Amino acid sequence: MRIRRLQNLTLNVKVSLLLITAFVILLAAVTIVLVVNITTLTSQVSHERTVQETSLIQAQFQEFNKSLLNTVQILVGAQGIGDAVSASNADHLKTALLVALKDVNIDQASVYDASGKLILHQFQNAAIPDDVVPGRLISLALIGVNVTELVPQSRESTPSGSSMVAMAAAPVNDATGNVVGVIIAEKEVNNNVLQQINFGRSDIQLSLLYRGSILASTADNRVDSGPLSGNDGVQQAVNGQVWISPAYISDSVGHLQSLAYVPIQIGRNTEAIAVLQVYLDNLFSFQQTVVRSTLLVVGALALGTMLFIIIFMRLGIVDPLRQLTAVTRTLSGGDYSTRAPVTSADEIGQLAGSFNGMADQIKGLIDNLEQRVRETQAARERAERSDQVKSAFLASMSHELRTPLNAVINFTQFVIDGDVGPVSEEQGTMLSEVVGSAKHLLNLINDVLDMSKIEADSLRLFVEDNISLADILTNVASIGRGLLANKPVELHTSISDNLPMVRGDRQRIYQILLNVVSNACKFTEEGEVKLSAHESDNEIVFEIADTGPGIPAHEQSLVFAAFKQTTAGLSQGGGTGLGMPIAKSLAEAHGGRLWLESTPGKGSTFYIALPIKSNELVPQLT
Amino acid sequence: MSSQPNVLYVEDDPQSRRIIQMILVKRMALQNVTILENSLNFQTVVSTLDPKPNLIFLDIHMQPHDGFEMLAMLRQLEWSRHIPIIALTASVMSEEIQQLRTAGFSGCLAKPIDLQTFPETFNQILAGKTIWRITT
Repeated sequence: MRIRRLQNLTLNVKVSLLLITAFVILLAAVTIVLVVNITTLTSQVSHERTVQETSLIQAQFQEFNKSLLNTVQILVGAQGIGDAVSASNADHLKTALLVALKDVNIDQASVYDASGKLILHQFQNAAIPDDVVPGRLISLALIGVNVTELVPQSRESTPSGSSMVAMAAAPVNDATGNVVGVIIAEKEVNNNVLQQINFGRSDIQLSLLYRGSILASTADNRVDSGPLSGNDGVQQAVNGQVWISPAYISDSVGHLQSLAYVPIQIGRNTEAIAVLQVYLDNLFSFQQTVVRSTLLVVGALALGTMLFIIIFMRLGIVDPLRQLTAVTRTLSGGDYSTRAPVTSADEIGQLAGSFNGMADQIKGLIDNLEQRVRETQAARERAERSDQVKSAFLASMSHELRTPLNAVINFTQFVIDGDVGPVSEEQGTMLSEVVGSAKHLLNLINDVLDMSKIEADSLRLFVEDNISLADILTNVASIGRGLLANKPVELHTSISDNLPMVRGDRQRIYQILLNVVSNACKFTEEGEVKLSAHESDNEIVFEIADTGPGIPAHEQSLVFAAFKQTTAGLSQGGGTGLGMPIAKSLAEAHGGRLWLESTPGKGSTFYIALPIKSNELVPQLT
Repeated sequence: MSSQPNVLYVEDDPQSRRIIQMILVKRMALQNVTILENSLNFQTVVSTLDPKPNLIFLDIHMQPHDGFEMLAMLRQLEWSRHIPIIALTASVMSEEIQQLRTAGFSGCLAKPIDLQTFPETFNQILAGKTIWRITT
């Protein structure tokens, strides 16, 4: 159903849909590939960066350690320090120490004598006295070792209530080189120190973790990134090995970060570790920028390509096809002169070209057909004209030949009848011969002209309905009796009552019957001529039987042949031999038949069958 | 007297005129026979006839009006609309007879006239019978 609806769309819409689908799939594919690759890359980059950062932070702490050691050695070697310690002169010591402290950056310095007793506790910043005395450092320094250590101290000022203090101890020698005391330089590893170690960066946070507590941090409010004790990462760092989170971690407000636990090596190993949080927001926003701009470029290119293809399709395929379709419609509407424009040499152009070729052929065929129809029409008109010319000629001939005969016959008859004076018997007989011959000539003319018409195929029937055969038969019988007047021959009629009215040419039916009856009367010297008519099977069958000489079988075909006569006909002398052929042709023109049966010596019977109402004949008069 | 028909015959051939004249006037002793030698101003001439004919014979091949035109003129006149008008012609080929029938002639007599049967035919025509006597 839906597919059929799709099939009904125009080519334009189909192609557009196809391209949009391809476009969406392409963009989706590019996006997926891009995001996967960029994410992998980002992951690697961020991991490497975190690794570098841990090294950097470790180096920074070592630098811090070394700096503190340098500081304590400066203090130990400062002028007057050795003497003052040796003399246990607190005033001198304080004076010398204050001078030395001007050049260094520590929180406080403590001076102990050879027995480990505190001589002087000098603060540089607003430091707080220690709650834990670094006895181990003192002991080690007294035996001549420079040493550092992180020592936790209670500090009520910090949120956790404690703080890590980095301490460096060095022995103080007198002029002779004997160890007379110890100086311990202290620097609290507070937020500021961590900031310095971290170079003041904001995308990396550095915190100091000790036994589950954050003692200092570069962040104002350190963001929680998981449990700070008891996990493997913390434990690994406490054991002296850097631990880096294998994947990003999202903090509670959604910032992505990479986490690392770094052991702080200041003096011996302690449980204090640095927590490094490398924020990846920049990296990810860069990644997003890359993805976005890439998609933008790819999308724009694809869109451009799509538009180009659509326009190309439109101009190169759809429009020519539409034009072709329009031309096809015009052509099927009957205008065969229209042609499709051929705008290219590609398949579409070839289609248009071959279509035009087809249209040319059709036009040629139709022109040819029309030409032939015109020619046929012209030929028919010529034939009709020639037909009319022939008919007019024959009519004129008939009129011109009859007119003088008219005078001959009528005037002679007047003379015979005595209208112009008495006539002797001999004269009367001779003049009767003149009339007879003239009438014969007249009939001859009629027959010849009729035969000419039949042979020229220009015979036309004047068809009408409701022709009464009784009238015609009466008339014919009367003329037949006239012909038999001087012979011992009787003419009998036997005509069915209620003969139906027939359709045909009244004049020609009369002519057929008269010709056949006259023929019978002419050849019969004694006996009878019998004329009968009856209805049979949608036909009227006329039977003209005579007791004449009969016609031998081999001469029967001559009876209906024009200008031919049988032996009897020749010996009888007279007649044109046209009467029977004309009658036969006229009967056949009515869709009827004329035939004969004969026994030589006994007589002949002619049969005429005419259809009562032939559909082949169309009445001209009703 | 008044039982005698008024006959009009229009014919340009003198021999034909003479034959009909002999039959109608001499043999049949008709008194009211008008014979016109041409069809010039036929309509006017015919209108002036008095008394009006009640039987008309027309030749077909005539000048300036042929038999068909004269028939058409007569069939337009009130008095001659329903009287028998017979074509008397030597043009009796089948098509020509058809033309006569179609044009509205009441009948046709072929030349030459059958002198023996003519009086009887004449009376039949007057009695209103349609006659198409072609064959001699």
